[in-house]
Amino acid sequence: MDLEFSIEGDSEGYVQFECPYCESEFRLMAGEIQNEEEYYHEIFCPYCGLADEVSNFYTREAIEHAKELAMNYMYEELNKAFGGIAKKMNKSKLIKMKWKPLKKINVQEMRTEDSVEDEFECTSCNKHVKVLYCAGKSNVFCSYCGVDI
Amino acid sequence: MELSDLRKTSMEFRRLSSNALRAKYDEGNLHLMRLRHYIEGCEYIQGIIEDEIQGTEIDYKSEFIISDGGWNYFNYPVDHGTHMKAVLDYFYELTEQDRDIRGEARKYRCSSNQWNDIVRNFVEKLIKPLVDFITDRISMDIMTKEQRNNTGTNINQYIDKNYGTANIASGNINSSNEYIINEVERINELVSSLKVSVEESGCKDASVEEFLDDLDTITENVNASEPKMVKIKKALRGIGSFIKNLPTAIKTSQLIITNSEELIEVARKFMENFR
Ligand SMILES: [Zn+2]
Ligand SMILES: [Zn+2]
Repeated sequence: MDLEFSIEGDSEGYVQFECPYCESEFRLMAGEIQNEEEYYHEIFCPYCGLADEVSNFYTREAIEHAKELAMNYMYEELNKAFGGIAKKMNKSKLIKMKWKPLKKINVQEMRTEDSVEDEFECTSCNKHVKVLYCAGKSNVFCSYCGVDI
Repeated sequence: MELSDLRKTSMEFRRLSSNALRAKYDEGNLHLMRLRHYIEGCEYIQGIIEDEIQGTEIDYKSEFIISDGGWNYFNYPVDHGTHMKAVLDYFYELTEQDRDIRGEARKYRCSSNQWNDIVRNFVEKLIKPLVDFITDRISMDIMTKEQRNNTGTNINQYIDKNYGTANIASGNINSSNEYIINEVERINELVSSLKVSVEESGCKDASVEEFLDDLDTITENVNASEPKMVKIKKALRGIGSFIKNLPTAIKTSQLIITNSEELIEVARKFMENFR
């Protein structure tokens, strides 16, 4: 079963990610991380510079969102299956079965709010990353090619 | 080391560290061993480590690892060098030979009861501070090299000429604060005189506006209680490229270049105080 879900970017097309190592949040352009020509298996955290699979950088909210969607999908399938049984049984007139479709959780569209992060352009691959400046931090890594920017 | 080698080392080190930090229990200490071999084979990283742990002493078994009878905890020493020494000693013991680190990892409290999480939690608490420290040092060196390449001069000369020697005499315990105060003062002076020079040059194009913005960013941050290093760094890069493209026909251009180069160097020194 493949469930697809989408997250809408902020006004500049950025979506939020969260580093699995240092838990810092940053943003990448939706069109850059995912496009026809390139596929990124792995990305780098702009703060600590460590790398992991893209899916390990999903934010908690994104994962919750995906879970809700999966639940809804399941409810729909259950409703279909049991709805069918109920109809059949009702036809047999031997057993009466009441059927109330399960309620779907109200899944809100996920949208990335605008933020105060600053945009950096990588000098070697020209891709973009938005980070929050934190005190004491002296550098930013490119999420795509991993170099110091 | 050349800039390209520094970048390569940074990347390799972070890759191996990433692998070590997301270790799976069934791989034992394989990735930790690989990381150790890399560190040991890299003279440059060895140098970074030796500088930091020089003269420190700690018995990690009794002072770094604390046991309350049930769980083990890490007691991070206040002194950073001592902390790094403890991490390294423990890390080296764990990688003495091929071994299953589950036995060690399970002594530390973890919110999950999955083996992968337990191992990862332990490895992270132990080596992440060391990884961050080395990564940061390499980045600092990359930045220094970049700025040197940008301005095309050996910026070290300014240290002796302008303020470095004056500070060396004050070798007491407060010296690092004094360094910072001296540096902030010097940065403020340089920025004011640069603004005057730009004003006198009569230039008003977009690159000048950006240059002035970069100058403001620097004074704003060095005078702040929590200076944002990334902002300073970005501004310094802007200044570096501004002076590189500055037409020599402008009458104050030589002065702008000289003062900017010094500003870059002093600001870099300033940032080093925070690492
Ligand atoms: Zn991170
Ligand atoms: Zn890049």
